Amino acid sequence: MPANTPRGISYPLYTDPIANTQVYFQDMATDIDTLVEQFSDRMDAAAMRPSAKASGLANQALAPLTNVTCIWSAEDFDNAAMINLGVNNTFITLTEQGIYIVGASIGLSNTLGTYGVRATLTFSAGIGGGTQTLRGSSTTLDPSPTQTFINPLSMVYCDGITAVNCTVVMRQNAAGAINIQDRNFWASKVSNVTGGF
Amino acid sequence: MGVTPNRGYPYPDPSSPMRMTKDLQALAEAVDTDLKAEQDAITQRPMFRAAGGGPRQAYGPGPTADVSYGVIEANNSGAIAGTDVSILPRTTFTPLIAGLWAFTATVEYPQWLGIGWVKLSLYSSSWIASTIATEMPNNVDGNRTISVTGSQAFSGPGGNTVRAVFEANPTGPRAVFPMFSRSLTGFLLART
Repeated sequence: MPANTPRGISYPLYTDPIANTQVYFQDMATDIDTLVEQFSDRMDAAAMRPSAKASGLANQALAPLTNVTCIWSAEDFDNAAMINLGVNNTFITLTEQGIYIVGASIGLSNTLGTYGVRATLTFSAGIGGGTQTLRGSSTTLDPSPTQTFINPLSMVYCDGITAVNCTVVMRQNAAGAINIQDRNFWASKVSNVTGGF
Repeated sequence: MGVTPNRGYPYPDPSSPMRMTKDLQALAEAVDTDLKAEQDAITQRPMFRAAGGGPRQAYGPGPTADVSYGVIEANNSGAIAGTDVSILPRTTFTPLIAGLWAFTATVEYPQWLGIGWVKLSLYSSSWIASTIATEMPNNVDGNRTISVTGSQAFSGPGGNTVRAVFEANPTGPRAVFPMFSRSLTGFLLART
């Protein structure tokens, strides 16, 4: 009766009948095959860390003193079903356990006067967000840049049990509405990497 | 002779003549070769870093300037290759591993009289990210560095390039304005 190594590779014992050697041989080769395949799959999984990127181009009005959640219209990259624009066009959703780095780049139209604009990365499940606040451009420059940009960046933990919905929430205090314009939003797991690229 | 379903390891099936030592050797060598390939795949994460090198870069006529790099300071695991590393200085690079990449670009700039703001952007086939600085260096505080970080998906060989673009508001004789230290760092966040 063949025995098994701790990881399940079968091998014939001294007392096993030699007539079955080819069967034992095949069993051993198949067991090794299974183990190496599992090893290879884990390396691939490590290289394909859950990551996603969404983008948007169409103007989105940002009224003064109003929280506006950025809307995404394109799924540029998603190797772990983290974006589903048909279900929710404001989320990147984290489900696999680990630490994620989350970032966004937001372009905004300018308007008259000096004002402030804020981009906040919000994370569900009561997890704290990351915020970047920027003084908006004014018309005293010669001439003013046609856009203002803000780039919040943060890290968040997902416990693998409760999904974390990530959003970008904008707010400004100019005299009138400005537009959210070109925008990108991305998240990538940076922990629990077992090797490989 | 049979082979295993996933890795193709050979074994004698019941209809094959048993040649114990040769069959064992064939299996051992197949496993050895396969594990070597898996082991070799565990490398540093693909990344590259290009720097400006010695000479400053003149801003030129504008209205924007593609940032130029003269030195490849790092290039791991086939991140970039070919003319991207052999023909320098250059302004564009093609990430060769398909997946989601992260980039940071920096440019050091001195006081430019008459300039009210500068902008540094990352572009591929589309815009990636931008940063604007609206307060310029003066004679006292010396040079300043502007940086921008963003992420973009790439398809690999033959795909899109990444580049950094510097811009200043359109005032003054920009051609004489220099950019000093410059860097572009990219690394693979996740494979496709």
